Amino acid sequence: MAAVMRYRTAGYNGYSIEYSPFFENRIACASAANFGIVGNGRLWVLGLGAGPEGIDVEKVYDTQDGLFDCAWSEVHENQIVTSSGDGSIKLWDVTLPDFPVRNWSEHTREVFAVKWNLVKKDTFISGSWDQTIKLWNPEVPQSLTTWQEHTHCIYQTAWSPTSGDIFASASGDHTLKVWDVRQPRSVQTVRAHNAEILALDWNKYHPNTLVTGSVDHSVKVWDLRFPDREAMVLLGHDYAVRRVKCSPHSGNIIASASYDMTMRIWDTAMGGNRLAHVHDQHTEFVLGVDMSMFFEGQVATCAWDEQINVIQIPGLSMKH
Amino acid sequence: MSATQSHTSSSPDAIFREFTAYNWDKDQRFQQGLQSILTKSYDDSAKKEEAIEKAKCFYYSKFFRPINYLQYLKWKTDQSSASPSPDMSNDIMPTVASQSSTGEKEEKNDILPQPSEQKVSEPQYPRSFQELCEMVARGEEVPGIRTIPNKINEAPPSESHLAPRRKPWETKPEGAEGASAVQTAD
Repeated sequence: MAAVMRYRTAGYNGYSIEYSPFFENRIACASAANFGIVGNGRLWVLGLGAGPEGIDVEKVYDTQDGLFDCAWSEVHENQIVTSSGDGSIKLWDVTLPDFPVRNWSEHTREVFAVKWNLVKKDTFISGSWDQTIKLWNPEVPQSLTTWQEHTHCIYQTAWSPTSGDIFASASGDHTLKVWDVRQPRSVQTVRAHNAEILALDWNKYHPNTLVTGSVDHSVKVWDLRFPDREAMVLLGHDYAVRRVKCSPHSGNIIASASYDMTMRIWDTAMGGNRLAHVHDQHTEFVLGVDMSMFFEGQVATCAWDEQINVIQIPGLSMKH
Repeated sequence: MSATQSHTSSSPDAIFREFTAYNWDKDQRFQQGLQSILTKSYDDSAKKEEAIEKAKCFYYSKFFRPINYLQYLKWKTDQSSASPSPDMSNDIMPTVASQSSTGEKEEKNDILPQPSEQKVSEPQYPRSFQELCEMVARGEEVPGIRTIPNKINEAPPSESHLAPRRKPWETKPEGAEGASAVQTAD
């Protein structure tokens, strides 16, 4: 296995890490000073395969408040959107220095989730602690739609990989909701955990399958056709699960990041506990994880230890 | 003023209580001095807490009444382990100079009170995370926060030249829906 590539986000605690959908060696990290309690935020644009430890900085952008999530544009190779603790959403052009090219200030509380539409690539959604979800077009100065139905903070959202109108949201109200952008109300509500749900992603190969991660330490796999009970529970994390990602290469591979300072790779086609790999080199909460679309098995993590790690997971199976 | 007032009338317990109840946040003179303590780096938060406590004892001794740090620690440990008793520390006089009257009291002096109130199911937050929370809760200014102008870039955004790249799952033939059930390998 190749050595771990590393980068230190000095002074900033990592919240979210995302691979560029255009450039295989580019990643971005949304981070916050002082653990996001108070102080500035910073967006890092980083190049893989460069620098003394395998990752080098290409651009940094500073913000007044902590940054909690980021999403690369699916249509513009130079643009990326960030969400902030002050409720703002900013669009950045990484060819320009210092300031964003757009700023939206509709959310009234922390925005923990921003996700670009994977199919209708001219829109993105945001999910906030103000309990609303908003749909945006980067060319439009106001949100296109606002949905309010969750009764607690929204921690994560995820687009369907196959339908540009369908997305899902996960909330502190213990529910997972599925939405159609053409409908004013959610189309499905799943009481997914008996605790706050912090993490959510949509399986890229099974259109009815979603994955949630919760304060209850568990990762659950859901088949929306049978919402009364989870299809699978993945147990092993010792503390809250903060982020989950479904592999872009395989319908049975899931990555999860946790307050237990580990990132785990699960293979739902395996027997036993289905745990395929544990990355335990972080020394604080792991909040961000993403899987490369271009190099199967390459995984990037960011954590409160101000460290970004990029690793190659050996021997991942490829059952689709 | 208070630095010269008599302290013979108060019991040690009352003095320690007064000491702990003192409004440190409002004492600007102390807060100014505290800044130099907070900016130093410490091995861990226990060391930092110790430095703050010692600074408080020194300050209180200088301006109000003599407080012996080690005796204060013992008093605090007793407070947290036993129900408050007015007589428990009658034999300990708080003075600047250490004058512990009995050897048996010494043994506890090295033990920093470490209340284990952390719930087992709660993740252990980084120490500086808790310190920051406490600073914010006390209304103290967290150092190092910069003001970033809330402005939009004046330069025009770049043009996109690349077509979106195909996702790995988009190369799959249509009709995977029927096989979408999660494999339950057991």
